[in-house]
Amino acid sequence: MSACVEITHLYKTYYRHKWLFGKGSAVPVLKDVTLSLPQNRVLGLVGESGCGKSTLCKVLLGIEKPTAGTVLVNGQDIAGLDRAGRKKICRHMQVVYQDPYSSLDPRMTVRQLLSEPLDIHGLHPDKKQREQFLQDLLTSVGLAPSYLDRYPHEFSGGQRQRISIARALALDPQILIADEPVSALDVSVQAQILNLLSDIKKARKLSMLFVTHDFAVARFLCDDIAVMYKGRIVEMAPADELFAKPLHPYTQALLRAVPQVGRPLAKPLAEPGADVPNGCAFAPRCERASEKCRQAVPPFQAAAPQHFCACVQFTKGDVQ
Amino acid sequence: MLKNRIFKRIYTNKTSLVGFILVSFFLLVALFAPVLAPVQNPHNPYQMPQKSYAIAPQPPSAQNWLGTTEQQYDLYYGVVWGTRLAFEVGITVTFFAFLIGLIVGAVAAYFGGKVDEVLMRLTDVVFAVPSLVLAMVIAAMLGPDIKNMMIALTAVAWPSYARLIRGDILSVKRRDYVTAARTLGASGPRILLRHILPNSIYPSVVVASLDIGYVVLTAASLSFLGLGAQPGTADWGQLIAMARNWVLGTAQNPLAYWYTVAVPGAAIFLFVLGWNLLGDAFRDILDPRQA
Repeated sequence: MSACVEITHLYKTYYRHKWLFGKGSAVPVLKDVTLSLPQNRVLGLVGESGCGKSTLCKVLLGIEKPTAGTVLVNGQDIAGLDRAGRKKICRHMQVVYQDPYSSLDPRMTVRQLLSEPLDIHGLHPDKKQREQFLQDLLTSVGLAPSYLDRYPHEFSGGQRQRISIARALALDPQILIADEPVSALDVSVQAQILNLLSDIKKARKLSMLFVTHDFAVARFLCDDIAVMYKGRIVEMAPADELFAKPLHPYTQALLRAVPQVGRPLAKPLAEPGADVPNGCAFAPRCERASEKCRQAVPPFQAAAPQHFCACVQFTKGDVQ
Repeated sequence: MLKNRIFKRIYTNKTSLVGFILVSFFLLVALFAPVLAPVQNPHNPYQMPQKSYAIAPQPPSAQNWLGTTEQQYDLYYGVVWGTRLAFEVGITVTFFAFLIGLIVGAVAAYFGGKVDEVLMRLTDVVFAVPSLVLAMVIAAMLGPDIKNMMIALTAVAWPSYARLIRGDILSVKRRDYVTAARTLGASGPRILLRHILPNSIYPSVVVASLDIGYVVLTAASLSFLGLGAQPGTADWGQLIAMARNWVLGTAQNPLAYWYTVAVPGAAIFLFVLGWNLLGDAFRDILDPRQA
């Protein structure tokens, strides 16, 4: 099983704006992220707000440049690509954004929105053929072809997200990055969009990076799940295994926090305290943290085949 | 679709209908000026015909429908051709001010950093001086002439567009759909022309439509001060300047020469009012979310 996206030792650091001279203080957002997206699978990236999920997407898409580390897409390093090279990558890798209200240009009709990727890449220039393609595309995301001449503001959030998905699929990509595609939607609509994504993934044999903060959503769609905390991947495993045997205390706490009808709410996590400069970032909130946790960053290693975890309490072979 | 929206919006709102009627009326007068008031001096149609050299204005008569002003210039001819001149000045000045503002604002927003800093401080400098005073200084330096007056007016009008457009571009630049276009592989110019400008230019278009009236008003002020049109030119400001000595009539009849002020004054008043009312309607028309 080959990987279509491979991220190795990726770092991204932002610098606070400083008035007039010099660089401001550093804000590390991604720290030593190593992740690979296997072909034809859905990798869920789960973590709380501000943990770096969206930054990772931006780096993947080439919107932000990595501070260190490499990102390979289909074996090609995306750093140092010229415009033509980047444009080529765009055809293979597309994205669905979180907010369907701001990700569609309000002055364009659905036809213009869906035609734009085709125009950019010079696909389906024949007018009749294109019309057919656009209608099929709209039908494939569950919208009527008659919607082509409407503006985004005439649609509901779920319908807009369908348009966004259609737009991403217009280039027939192999890789789809979904940056919290349902978190801005009503729960009843979320299920429809998740079903659509699941169907599309099967029909088009897509590899998908699915970013979310909702374990319930991740469980429905993802084959593998990576959990992120403060810019680091702290645990990664196949979805079934992760839900059955979560290892990292953070993952366990997150799973406990998923509300369920008929069960009292779990005790909330402690407020994140001051950063631990040299240790495990989760230590201040961890019930089981010891002095050891504050001394060194725990290595991210296999606790079982396919199951990786960054916690000092688990070393190789701990879990059978 | 846009056409439907324009008419729907104009008919459903009475004030914008009034604005539309006023501006249309002036537009027709400007277009048919040669028919309404046949040209007397083929070399310069804006030269008002002069009946005689007598000083005192004469009231409306069969020969001079709206009377004559100082030195027997025909007020009717002056107002009709003045309408044409008002459109010429208003639209030319607003167009060039808009264009300069668009370029400066877009460059500042696009490049950011030091370029942005320098250009925006330049607009601050222009803003720091009262615009009418600055226009007077520039017009006086260049010499009294309509063309120079237009240059002076453009020079003081562009900074507000530059600022407005810069701000709008900066806010639109960060929207998701701009990032989305980038991830589709769109080129820089394409993003600027297809996504950023169409979404940031409309507030300035609305301001421009309001500005046409204001520019004409300022132009009239400059002409009134003798810094614009030359004596004898069919210009509203000029006509008011000529009426300066006739605001008050004789002791027995203080309103004896009312027409010298009222006729060009009404023209300016209705023209500016029309554009202001119409500008409001433009705002709603140009936003697709307000269908």
